[in-house]
Amino acid sequence: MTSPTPALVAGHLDPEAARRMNKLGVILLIVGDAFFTFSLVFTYLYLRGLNTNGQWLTQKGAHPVSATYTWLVVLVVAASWLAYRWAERGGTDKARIVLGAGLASALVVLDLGLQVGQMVGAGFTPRDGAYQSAWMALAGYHVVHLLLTLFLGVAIVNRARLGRFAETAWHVTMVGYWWTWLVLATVIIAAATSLATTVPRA
Amino acid sequence: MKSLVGIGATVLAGGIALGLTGVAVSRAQSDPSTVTAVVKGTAQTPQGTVPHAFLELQTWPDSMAGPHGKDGGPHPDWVSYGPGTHLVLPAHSLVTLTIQQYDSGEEITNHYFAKVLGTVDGTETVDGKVVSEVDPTAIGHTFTLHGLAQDGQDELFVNAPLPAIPDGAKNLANGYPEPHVVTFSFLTKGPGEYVFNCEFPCGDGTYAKFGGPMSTRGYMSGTVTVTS
Amino acid sequence: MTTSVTAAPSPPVAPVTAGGIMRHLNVVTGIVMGVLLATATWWVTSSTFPVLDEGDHKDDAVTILTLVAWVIGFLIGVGAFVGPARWLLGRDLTVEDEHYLAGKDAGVARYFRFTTDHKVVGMQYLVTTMVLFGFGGTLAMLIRTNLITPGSRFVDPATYNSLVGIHGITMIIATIIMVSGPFGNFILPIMIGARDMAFPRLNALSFWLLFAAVPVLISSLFLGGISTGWSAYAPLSDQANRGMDAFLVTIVTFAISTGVAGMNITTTAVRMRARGMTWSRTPIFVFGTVASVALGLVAFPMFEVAMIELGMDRGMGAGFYDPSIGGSGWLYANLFWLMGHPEVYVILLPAIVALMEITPVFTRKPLFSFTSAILGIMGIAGLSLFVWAHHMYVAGWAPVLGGPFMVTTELISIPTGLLFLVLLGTLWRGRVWMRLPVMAVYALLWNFTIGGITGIYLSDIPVDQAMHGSMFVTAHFHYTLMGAGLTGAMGALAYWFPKMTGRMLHEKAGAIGFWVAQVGFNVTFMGMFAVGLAGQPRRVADPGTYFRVGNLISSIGAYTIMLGMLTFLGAIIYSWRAGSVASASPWGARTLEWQTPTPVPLENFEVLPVVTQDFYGYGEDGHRAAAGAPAPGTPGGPGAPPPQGPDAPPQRVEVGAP
Repeated sequence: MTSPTPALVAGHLDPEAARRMNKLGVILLIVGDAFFTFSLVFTYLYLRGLNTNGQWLTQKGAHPVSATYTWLVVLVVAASWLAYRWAERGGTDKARIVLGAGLASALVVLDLGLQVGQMVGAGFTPRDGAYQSAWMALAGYHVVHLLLTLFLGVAIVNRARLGRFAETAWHVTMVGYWWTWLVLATVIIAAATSLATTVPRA
Repeated sequence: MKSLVGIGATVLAGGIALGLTGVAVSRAQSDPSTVTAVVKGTAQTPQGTVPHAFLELQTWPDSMAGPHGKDGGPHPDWVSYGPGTHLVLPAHSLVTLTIQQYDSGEEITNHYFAKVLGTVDGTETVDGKVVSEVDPTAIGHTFTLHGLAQDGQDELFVNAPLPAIPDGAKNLANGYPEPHVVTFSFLTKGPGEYVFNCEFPCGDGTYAKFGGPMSTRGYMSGTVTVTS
Repeated sequence: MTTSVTAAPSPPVAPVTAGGIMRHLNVVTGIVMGVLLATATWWVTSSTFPVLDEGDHKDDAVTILTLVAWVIGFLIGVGAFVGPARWLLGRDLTVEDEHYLAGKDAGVARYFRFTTDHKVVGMQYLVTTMVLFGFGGTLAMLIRTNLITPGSRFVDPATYNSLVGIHGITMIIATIIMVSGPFGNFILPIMIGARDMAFPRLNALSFWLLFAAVPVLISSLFLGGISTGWSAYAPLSDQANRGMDAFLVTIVTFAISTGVAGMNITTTAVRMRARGMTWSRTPIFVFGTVASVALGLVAFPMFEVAMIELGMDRGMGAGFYDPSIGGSGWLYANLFWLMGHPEVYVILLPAIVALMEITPVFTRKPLFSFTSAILGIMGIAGLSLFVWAHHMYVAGWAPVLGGPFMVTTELISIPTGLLFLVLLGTLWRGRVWMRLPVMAVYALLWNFTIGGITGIYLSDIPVDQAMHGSMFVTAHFHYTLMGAGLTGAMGALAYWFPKMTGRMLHEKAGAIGFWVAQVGFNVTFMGMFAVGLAGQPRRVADPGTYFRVGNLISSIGAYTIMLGMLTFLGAIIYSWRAGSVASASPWGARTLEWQTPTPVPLENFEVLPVVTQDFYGYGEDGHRAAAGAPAPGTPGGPGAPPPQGPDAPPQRVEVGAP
């Protein structure tokens, strides 16, 4: 282990040292976020398994959300990730980053619309029961993820447009880590909410 | 020396700060207004001749007339006992409590509390009629005083069900319907501190109506001090 | 031990425009913006939100959103989002901007704005921690005052329960940050030979998030209190009054702060250690602190989720914890304790490793079995994630798992025992230089033995069935969190005080305060063990005459603690203002933070150090080698001359002489 920093302040390290440091930081943030996401998924699966008072999706008119729609949300996120990966693999090619990250961000906006649409059109509110509460929390958190990703995506487009990546090209990679986690989290949430809807048999 | 003064000043300032905080907190607590039973003569009971004390309470469908301040305080729409929820009763006395019940109701969760318990003869009068229980499907509230024999004080248990005002009853000029008047008497024993509450879940809709006024002191629950 | 390899370039003169808009932002603009946004949010939500047909959900929703708006507004006003905004716009900070943000030449003002220098953040944490302890301690005194005599009615039962709840959460927050906040920020980067934390702006963010959470916590007092106790068990917390809204916003804010700090400290320790500082040469304080904050990073999100779900229940009428629509209190209990037990070690580990850092210095011996210490820390951190359900033995949840959880809980006493052995082994046959910092080691060993062993009792299901919910439990966890945790933090403060403030802590007053508090502590909580064994339940304002004597003793003990703590505080305040000036290395310690000048310059090191051996080489064979250890102040030795003056204790230059 060596100390790589000859600089005055930590924010201005040599690019490789900064990349290594930021990579670990981003991974740790993702770990924290993963535990948050897992806790929400745990909530969903636990309340389903517990089925307190036989109330999981048994109220009059209660129904699970459409699994097809849920996987459509995943599909769009996955497409945005592919677009971003394409941009990332272009190295410091400014036009490619702008195009790829721009397309990825546009797909995130589309996904936001889809997710909000699913929530509004779900036909229930969190007040209707445990399933409805747990699903809304997961869908809501996906919206939060998308908003954060949109911020990152737009920033990458703008920075690439301004040619800000001479020494900080690794920023694109860091955002790529997050984007990958976004897809994983979306798949986990979709798998839980679409494959485990009705109460398991005793 | 300088250090002693500095450190001593810190200790003193800390002590003063604590004292002031204590006084402020102690005084700032919500203190539901006290209702004291008034002794008017004596009564013959199986325990002999004892002082006879009288007390009046109401059960309101909101907090406007209770002890909650201007415009009903922070929760004007919560049901509430009134005029206070800290009752002071004399020890070794016959207490006659009259409650004007203004609220509607429905079936009580636990039918046991639809019976009159712990009063003289196990009865109460509802609008002048002597009863030993009321219809459990039409209960407005109950006055239930719980007290186990502990900490050197005597056991005290009284339950008086208060029938519901029917839905759609006409309001009088004061904005409330004609109340049911429920009267019952019970004997206090030695001094002690007790709690009373309503056993009909009449609170916040959450949790089978045990929230809100049912779980906040000063609305559908209170304390009873039996003094020597 | 170290050689210089890399000279720092001369710092450029910052232009007057450095910092940009940050020049105009500080804590005052933060408060103004926070209040404005909160007021606007309150107005909009109050007038637009529908009243749901059941419950007071609108009130709760309005309260939660108003408090969240305060936090966001404050962060905007203090400048927390300027960095991300500039990154988005492609206007990256220049070196001059970063110097400005680091508080270069800013004097005292740097403590009141979004300053990124880790030393400033460390001092901010230190003062905030002391304020929190003052607040929580005041509430503790009110609790004990109420319990002086049965039926005292000093406060009413509802107020009493609120005092207990707010005291609990205040002290939990304070103890979580008490070591990793001040010393993890101020000392750790210097200790590993870095110029700052890995992410200085996130470092400032974690502090100002905490700062924003404090008024929210205090506001709970005016919103009806936290009548549930700090554990806020559902469904009680679903029904509690609006003080609970303040509680949950506090927790979510604090959890984000802790998560960010955990990521930052871990990255700093892993990536920014000085050249040559291999893991085996890394000070034990770094290991313990990193284990603690990394544990927090995975544990606190679960609490955060529990609180967000509580917020949805209260503000939207959701059904996470409401059994009538399919929710369950067990969900809350699991999420809470999945955080709650690791959190105990989040508190304890930094305090214990701080004392491990101190002990070799004052015994002039190497740390006994460095490897055992590492194994102990790793064992505790790992096992702590698998013991949570011992808090739920009698909750009816998964009784079949009671046995396994009993085993894991009892297993954790093994790595904990290792840490005891390391401390004892380091003291063993050492010629101890008996100064205030090392006194804390003895106090911790006594207190933590009692706290630890009673913990083993409570981990046993049959005992727990009898003792749960009693004051015995309260006494047990005070022996661990206060008797061990806070004691360790006091030792750490006494040890690093000279480096952080440039002055020596008044030894005599500090020691008197410390020991008076320790005696008071043992009186208080021994009394509490007694009434707990006799059956006194927790969170009961007037537990009855049967417990009169025990409660009176505990209350006398509590007033003694107060006297001791105020004396200790007095020593801190006096010494900070007028104590004798400290040299760069008054203890003759060898870790890197003592190799820098005091006060520590902005860049910490003029030249970055290279580490060529470990920091505990006071003598590789204990007693004999201790004799050879250079005394503080020996020319060419590790330390500079010890303090001189009326308050300076006599020097033990003959330490370890054969």
